[in-house]
Amino acid sequence: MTIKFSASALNQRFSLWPFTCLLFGLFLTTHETLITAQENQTVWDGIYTTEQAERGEKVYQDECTFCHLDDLQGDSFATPLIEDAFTTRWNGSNIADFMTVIQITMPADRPATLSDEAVAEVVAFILQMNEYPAGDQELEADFSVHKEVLFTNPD
Amino acid sequence: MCNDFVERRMTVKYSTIQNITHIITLTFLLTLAPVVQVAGQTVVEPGTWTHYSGNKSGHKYSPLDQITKDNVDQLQIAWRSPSPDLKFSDDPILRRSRNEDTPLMVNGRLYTITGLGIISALDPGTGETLWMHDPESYKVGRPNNGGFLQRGMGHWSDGDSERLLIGTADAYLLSLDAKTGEPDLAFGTNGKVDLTVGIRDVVRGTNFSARRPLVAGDVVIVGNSIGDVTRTRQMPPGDVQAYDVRSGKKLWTFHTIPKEYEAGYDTWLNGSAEYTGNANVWAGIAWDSELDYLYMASSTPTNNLYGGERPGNNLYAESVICVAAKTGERIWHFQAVHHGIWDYDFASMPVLAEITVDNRPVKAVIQVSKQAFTYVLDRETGEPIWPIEERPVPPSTVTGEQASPTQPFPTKPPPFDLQGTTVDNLIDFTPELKQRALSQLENFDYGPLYTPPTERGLLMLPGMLGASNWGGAGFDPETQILYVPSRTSPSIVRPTPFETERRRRARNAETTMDGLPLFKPPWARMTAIDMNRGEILWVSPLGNGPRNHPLLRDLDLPPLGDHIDGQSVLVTKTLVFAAVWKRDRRDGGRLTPSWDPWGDPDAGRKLVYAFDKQSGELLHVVEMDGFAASAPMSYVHDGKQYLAMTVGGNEDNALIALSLPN
Repeated sequence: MTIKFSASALNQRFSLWPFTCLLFGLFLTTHETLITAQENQTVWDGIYTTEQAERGEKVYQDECTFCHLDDLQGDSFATPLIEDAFTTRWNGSNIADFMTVIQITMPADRPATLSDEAVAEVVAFILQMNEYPAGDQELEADFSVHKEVLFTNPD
Repeated sequence: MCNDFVERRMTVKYSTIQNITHIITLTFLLTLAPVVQVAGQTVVEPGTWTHYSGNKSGHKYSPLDQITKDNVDQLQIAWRSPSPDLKFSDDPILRRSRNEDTPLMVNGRLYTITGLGIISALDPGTGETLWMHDPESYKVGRPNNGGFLQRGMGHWSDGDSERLLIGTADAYLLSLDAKTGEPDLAFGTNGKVDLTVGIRDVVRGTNFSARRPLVAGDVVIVGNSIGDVTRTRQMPPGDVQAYDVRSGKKLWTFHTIPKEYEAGYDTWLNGSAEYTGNANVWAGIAWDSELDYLYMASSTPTNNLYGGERPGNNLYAESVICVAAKTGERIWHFQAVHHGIWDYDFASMPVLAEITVDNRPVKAVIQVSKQAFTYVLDRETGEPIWPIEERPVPPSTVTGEQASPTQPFPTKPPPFDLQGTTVDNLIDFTPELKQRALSQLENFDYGPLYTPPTERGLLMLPGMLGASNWGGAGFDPETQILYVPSRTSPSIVRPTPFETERRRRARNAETTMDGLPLFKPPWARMTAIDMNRGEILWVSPLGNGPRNHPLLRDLDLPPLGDHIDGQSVLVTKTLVFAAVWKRDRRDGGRLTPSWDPWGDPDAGRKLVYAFDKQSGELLHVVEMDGFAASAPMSYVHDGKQYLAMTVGGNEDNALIALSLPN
């Protein structure tokens, strides 16, 4: 939604500002999630819920343990999803990319068979296993809202 | 499909002076480095490289001798061509590709293919791209097993036309005009042949991709990669397929898993050949042009660690197989592992060698293996050159599994790396270290070679990724010495039955002690084997390893070998090179040795080792800016010898050429 400002409009005695604020308010209400997924948000900001991670554990057991093992350590064919090997690989990358890789390439023998919701749930579980904090808001199944949410190492 | 990056260049026109220089140089080189003309092995012009291994005998040998043991320490980078794959570095899936090609050098052009399957022709003197073709085979999605990787192309010429043959991630065989990069529209359908036709249970890319084609006269043969990771027993069989190189017409299929009417079907009990798959030939194929025989080595059947749904010996899995190149008729086979349950699939191209054993000339085929055996057979008959004994091995304790009661054990040459998890193989620099290793071992089940996987977890050595893997061996046709780089790297293995068992426990315990491996070093090595006598000549470590570890530093130890994930070889007149890959093979990321927290002398170094090929003395390490995974090759251009190799993983993928200073 584009809002056009012109110099002449700003200069008019009839101010557009209240109207603009109203529009902006409407914009905010209908796009709440865009506001919560702000720039500079990271995995340390409580981006999933505990309950969501519990649902994710079930997804993980059904679809992921065969290769990535119960302790997420992986083996000859599957990468670790925990500790240094995992956090080093993803440091600086964003959650949307992580979810995309899972959705398109995993599970390795049946790729692209998980729903977006299942992907969000299993990601919540993986975040929990890596001891990133839980929060009040579930991780959205819409990957695109997470483009700015980064994996970072603790300070 | 060509994209915007395709450039078309007319053939570069040389000046008269350059022409004369070329003639003089070529004459000079031809007199000094005669064509290695050995019976049955493709005659190759020196300074060219027409297949992954130089010739089609798996040698990886270059007779060029401008670069020698006396000047190898002067090698420098001549040019560096960044990979076109790097344009995908923002794509979370495509940015992880492996760079594993060995380029080809034919008729003054260098040809290479990237992990994502983009093909280029380059100027051999400058690395400048002459043409590029992107068939967009990566659009099928990330292939199973190794992900996006390519390990070489086939090349064909009738003296006039020239073609490159490519096996793609999305299971097509492509033919390109090597001079222009354009698809050969007379081949298949618009330059493509579909490799999945007639093969059951294929999911293109996901469980079935092509591997490196081999051109044998006017026949092009291609094996495939079939997903190792599977929760279903119903998988595509590893059919090897052959086509006419001009038209793409299908000539024959060799069924590594026999059909009902074929010999070997009864080695799959309960009709298990009807649904079991894999046993594919991903390793590379060799060709004896005189006999017109092909030699291939096959992999484990579905699945790697559990055979409960395929009782029987499972021919022709984990076998060396000889077929007639024009008809695919099986001439002979030798199965190295019966009813394989260790993931000991053959990973590397067979080596065809003329050797002399007990004063008798022998046409041999030599096959190295993950399990550190070297199988040496008469390549006309399949008979072992030195006795290979069937010996009893432990039974399986897994419900539903029936391991073979015996396995073949070559008597010569000796294994080139540690075999079996035994007390004798444990680290023993000090009694304390040995004692610690012994008690750590009690966390696992363990035993000699061919002890089956157990529910508790078997500590298996060699591990699933081998002592030797796809880098295979190199062979010196002038001295009959085989060079095998390898690593000592155990795996913890449990059987993996299919859908019924979804949960897999974690590892029992660490396979290291304060970062030190449990087993004796060197943990990465190059072994030289005299193939006339079947004896080891020398063993040299690849890398320093944890010599400065607190538990070892007072012992003043020699180099112990690095923690590597891949190793390959090039043999020349005076040198043998080992390129080592120290990336995580699963995602191309950083590979950190277990001893890293205690200090790694080789941390961050990306090395190619150069040894005196007679003595094994380490003469030089070339410090590269990327890890080289695939066999280096060598060529001559404008009178200068070059070494070229692909390097990198993910962000630093490139093709690099080295030469001596002017």
